[in-house]
Amino acid sequence: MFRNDEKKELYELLAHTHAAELYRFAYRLCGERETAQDLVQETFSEAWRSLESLRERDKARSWLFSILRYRYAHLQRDSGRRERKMETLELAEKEAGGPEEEVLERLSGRDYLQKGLDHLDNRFKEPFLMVFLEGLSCAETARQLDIPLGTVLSRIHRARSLLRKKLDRLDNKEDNGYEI
Amino acid sequence: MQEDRDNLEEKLTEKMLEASLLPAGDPLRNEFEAGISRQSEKAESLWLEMLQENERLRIDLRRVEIPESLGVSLLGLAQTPGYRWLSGLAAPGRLLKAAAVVLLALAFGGTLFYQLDTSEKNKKFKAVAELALDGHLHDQNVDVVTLDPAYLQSHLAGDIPFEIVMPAINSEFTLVGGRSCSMGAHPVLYTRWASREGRCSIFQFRSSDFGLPQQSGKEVIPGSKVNCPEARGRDCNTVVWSEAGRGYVLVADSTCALKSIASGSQKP
Repeated sequence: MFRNDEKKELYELLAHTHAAELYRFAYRLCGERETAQDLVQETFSEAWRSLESLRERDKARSWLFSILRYRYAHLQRDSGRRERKMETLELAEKEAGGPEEEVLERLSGRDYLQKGLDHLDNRFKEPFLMVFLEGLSCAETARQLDIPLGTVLSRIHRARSLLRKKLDRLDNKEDNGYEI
Repeated sequence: MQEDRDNLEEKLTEKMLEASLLPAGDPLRNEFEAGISRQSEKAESLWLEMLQENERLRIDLRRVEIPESLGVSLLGLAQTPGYRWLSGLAAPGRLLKAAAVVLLALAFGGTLFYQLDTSEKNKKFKAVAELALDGHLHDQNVDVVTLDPAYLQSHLAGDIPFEIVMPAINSEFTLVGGRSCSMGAHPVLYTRWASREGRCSIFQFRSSDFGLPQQSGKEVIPGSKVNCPEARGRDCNTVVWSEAGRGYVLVADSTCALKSIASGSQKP
């Protein structure tokens, strides 16, 4: 059991240390700033409520990320967002905006990488972000998502391919001299 | 043969990806890297490309602007009294949103109510303006000819079931006379006025008979906006208002007269 001041001290330490990276992860996952902020707040409110259950402090980071992913899964279920997302990567590619639109977006400073992520189904996006942003190993990702390591690798591979295609396409189009 | 080679390449790429995703210095990654350097140049170049791309993705993914308020709001979670109750309901961000939605709904409801109310009022003003315009165009006869409003008042008091109160109008206009009449089924006092610029009619009635407010400012309703075909091509305009439970409609032949009368503030 914590004393109140100990609990608060630990909570503040976690907030200072992990808030920014959790927000990054949440934003990349959902693609909306407001929702990302809500997710982080929900994560920390959950953490505050159940801080006593955190037995090993060196696992706090992983624990917070798990809460966040859980909250996100909840959010998706509640809002039915999953249905609105592209079911397949192929479809996502077909649906991508026209070349002029993409170049304009890039030049106007919009997050083109996020647009690529937004088109990814969560099955691909989640392990990709867990490895690339959360910094987990593929084996740890497989364990946390309870899927085989091979599945994690193939999903990351596909996620990377789609993003690479999207970014390459933008690079080529800019090099080809699109006039705005 | 080609298919076997493709399969091998795919397997190698997958292994490469797995190794490239391990942290730098990881023994497994070091081992794989050593194996790659012993293979073809193509494999080595692919490996380097993969590492670069991973790095680029990691850097790009981290490029997210962090809201300034995030830290403060998170630290506030542990300080707010009664937070347990709040957090049981929802995150504060959601509560704020809910509050905003309620406020918006109230504002929207208020605006809608106001608009409905205004539109209802406008309809009534238009209806009474239409009746008065029709009367002005068809019948300007007067039963009592007088320049004195008090005389007219005393003579028609018995015919009109409400107290006659003359409205304030421009002093350039003089009373010509008046009569009791009706608009629809309601009793009305008709008065005729004239000036060098033109002539006008004022209809006086109980505002409640026509659903008008007890008190309302002057509303100019151009003849063109009233459903009265005979007013077309004529410079007819109406002003509708109410004072102390009495409703008035002024119909003028010319815009000039209308303005003059509508802005008048002198008691006749």
